Amino acid sequence: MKEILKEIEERFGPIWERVQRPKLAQVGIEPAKAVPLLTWLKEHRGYVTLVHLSAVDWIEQGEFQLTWLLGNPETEERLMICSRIDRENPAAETVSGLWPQAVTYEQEINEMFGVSFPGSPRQGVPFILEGWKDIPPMRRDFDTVAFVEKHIPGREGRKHIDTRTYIGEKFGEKGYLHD
Amino acid sequence: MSLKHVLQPFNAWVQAFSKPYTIPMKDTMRPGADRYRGWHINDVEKCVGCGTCADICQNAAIDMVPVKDPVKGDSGLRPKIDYGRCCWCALCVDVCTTGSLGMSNEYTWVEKDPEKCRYTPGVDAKPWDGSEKGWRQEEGFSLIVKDRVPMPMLDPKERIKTWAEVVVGYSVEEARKEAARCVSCGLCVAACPAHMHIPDYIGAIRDGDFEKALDFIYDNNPMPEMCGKVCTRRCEGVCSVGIQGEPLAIRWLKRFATEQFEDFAKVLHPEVKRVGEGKKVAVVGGGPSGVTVAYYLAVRGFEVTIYEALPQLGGATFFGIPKYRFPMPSLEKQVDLLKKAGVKIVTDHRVEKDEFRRLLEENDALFFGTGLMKPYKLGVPGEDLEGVIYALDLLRDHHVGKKVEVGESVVVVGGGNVAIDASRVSRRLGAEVTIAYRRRREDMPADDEEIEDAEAEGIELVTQSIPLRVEKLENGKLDFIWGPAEMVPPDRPGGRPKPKLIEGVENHLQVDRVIVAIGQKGEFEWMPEEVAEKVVTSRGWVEVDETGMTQWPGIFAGGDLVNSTADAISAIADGLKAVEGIQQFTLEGLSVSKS
Repeated sequence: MKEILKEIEERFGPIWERVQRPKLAQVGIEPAKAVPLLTWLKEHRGYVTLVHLSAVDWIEQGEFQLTWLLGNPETEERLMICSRIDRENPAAETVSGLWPQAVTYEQEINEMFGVSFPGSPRQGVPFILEGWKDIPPMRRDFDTVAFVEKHIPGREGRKHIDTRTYIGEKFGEKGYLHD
Repeated sequence: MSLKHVLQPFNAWVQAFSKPYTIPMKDTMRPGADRYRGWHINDVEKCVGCGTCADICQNAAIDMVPVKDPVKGDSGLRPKIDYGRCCWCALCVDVCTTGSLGMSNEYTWVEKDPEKCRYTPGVDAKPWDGSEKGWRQEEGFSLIVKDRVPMPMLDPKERIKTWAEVVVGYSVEEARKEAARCVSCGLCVAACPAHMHIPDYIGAIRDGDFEKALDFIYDNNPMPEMCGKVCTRRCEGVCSVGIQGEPLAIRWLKRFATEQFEDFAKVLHPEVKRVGEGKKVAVVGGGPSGVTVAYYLAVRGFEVTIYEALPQLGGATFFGIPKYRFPMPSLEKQVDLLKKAGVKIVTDHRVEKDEFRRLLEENDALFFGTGLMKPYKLGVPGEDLEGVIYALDLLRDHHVGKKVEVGESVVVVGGGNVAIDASRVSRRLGAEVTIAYRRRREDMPADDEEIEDAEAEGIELVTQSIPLRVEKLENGKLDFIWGPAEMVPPDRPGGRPKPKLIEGVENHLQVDRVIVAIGQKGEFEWMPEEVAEKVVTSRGWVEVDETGMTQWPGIFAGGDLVNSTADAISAIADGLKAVEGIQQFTLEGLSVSKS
């Protein structure tokens, strides 16, 4: 994998890389160069399979990370191409022209994270969430517990005891500076 | 309608006797995969009821429910799961602090009553209990941060040359990182004798709000900088994060919060009713219990005076604990707040019988916490020789500024914190130090960390050694003669193994000083006989009721004289109890009886 990583660096400029397993490596690249790199890998280096496309919400850094997982069926090597995009108005180039199945991945990420892929068909068309009005649910600022409490009733008669409060009460925890 | 239409339904019945096309379910039941996320299992003996599973559940599917009485280290609560909500994500398993929660690989269960699909794993028996397969925490992966942020310390070679504080302290970044490991279960609150608001101040440190942290800390501990440096930290012993990893550095975090402020009075703003206006309380003994009583009564408007025999408040934390662990400026800061709260402090003043009687006349209530000041004797021949000294005297003389000489070599007899302190002080005074302890290392009552620090400083530990006698040698040195011991089973079940002298073997150790540190007891010569008669038991202890009051109405007591744990935080807890007791007593219009 070292050679391909070296070649990517020479052709596409600064990247970060990590070989995770003998046949699996990760490459980080700026968003503008991601699709040219993917195209080159598919057309010239035998990475003809798009195995997966996923997203991660790096809320603290104000970024989404997109990861295209490519496979080379001949060498059985895999490359994860990672790219960080801005979390405000997030958008990325579509790869649906290179791999038709990317349409579905891009539709799913569009729905779950709110990342748009201009030019990709079925953007904005519900994937599994019909009539969703909230913020995209895979964003980390989506309050899952609040959503569940509102929409999915728990069994009646449930009673949760908060451990911290319970211990304070049972062992006579007291304060002396405030009445 | 033809005849065919009438008969056809009956034809179907013929099929009832032919071989079915479908496959019977019992033959096709396939077990779940080895790491399948099926119905939960819980080892309830291992579980401590920390509630972290319920906190992390994104579906609010887990309730903590009581299954037994809470004890220190176990809330008595256990998770009960609502399978109408569970999505089998296994976050609860991955975050479990004890590793007790798992998931079986069972995935089918039919029940007509949905209410039954809500059970407490491990408590409500299920067919999959004890399942070997299914989802478990993966080795090497944890949602809990198991490693503690290391505390920077002075190098052992450097520190024996100085009295500088050994522990350097966390930076803001380190403290916030360490605080972020807390799961806020509160098991620590139960274990702390004073029930400090530990998860709350740790949470405030994590959020960077150090003033709020200090407010939580001072809410029931008026000597937190001391506790932040030298507390026996029972809290850390029960920390749920410590079960699979290193416990939260609760003591160091408290230390960090207090060290952020030079003047506590500028930060703390007690909001309590000044119910004690016009009431007077005398406190005899300025140790942690007395300081606690004085501070919290003073902020309630009581007129409080502390009488202390030594030149500084703090009791054993002043005269006993060496300055490389608890430096003077730390103590002075806490005493300063006491003064600003209006407490009158009389130091270098030992209360004697007549004055005690006068204090009874002049005050509405009286508290004493005079500690254990009288060392136990070794009880071997030669104990009265010059050069045989007591650790308490050594430490006290050293800390009040008297010149102390220990010569070139010493042996310290004992295995508690006083023994370790005396050893490390002697080491810094330039002596080669040996600790002789009659039991094994693991039996030593001293803090483990203290023992390690002592060894790192070049102090030698000789365990299972029983002192036989001390003799004076011609060269002026002392010959400390000891015999080896073997460990024999304890007298009663649950007791500690006992050391038994192996007869006929004598070992010699030539030293300049034999320092005795085998414990201490209360001393009541200062107390009027009529009071001592009522409040001191035949075994030399003081008994108090649940309000901290002795047999003498209006006289309260606390600290090492009262509790058997003999540590500062227990003394503070005694003080808190007495604060409430004294408040209640005086507000009922009662006053201490004069005779």
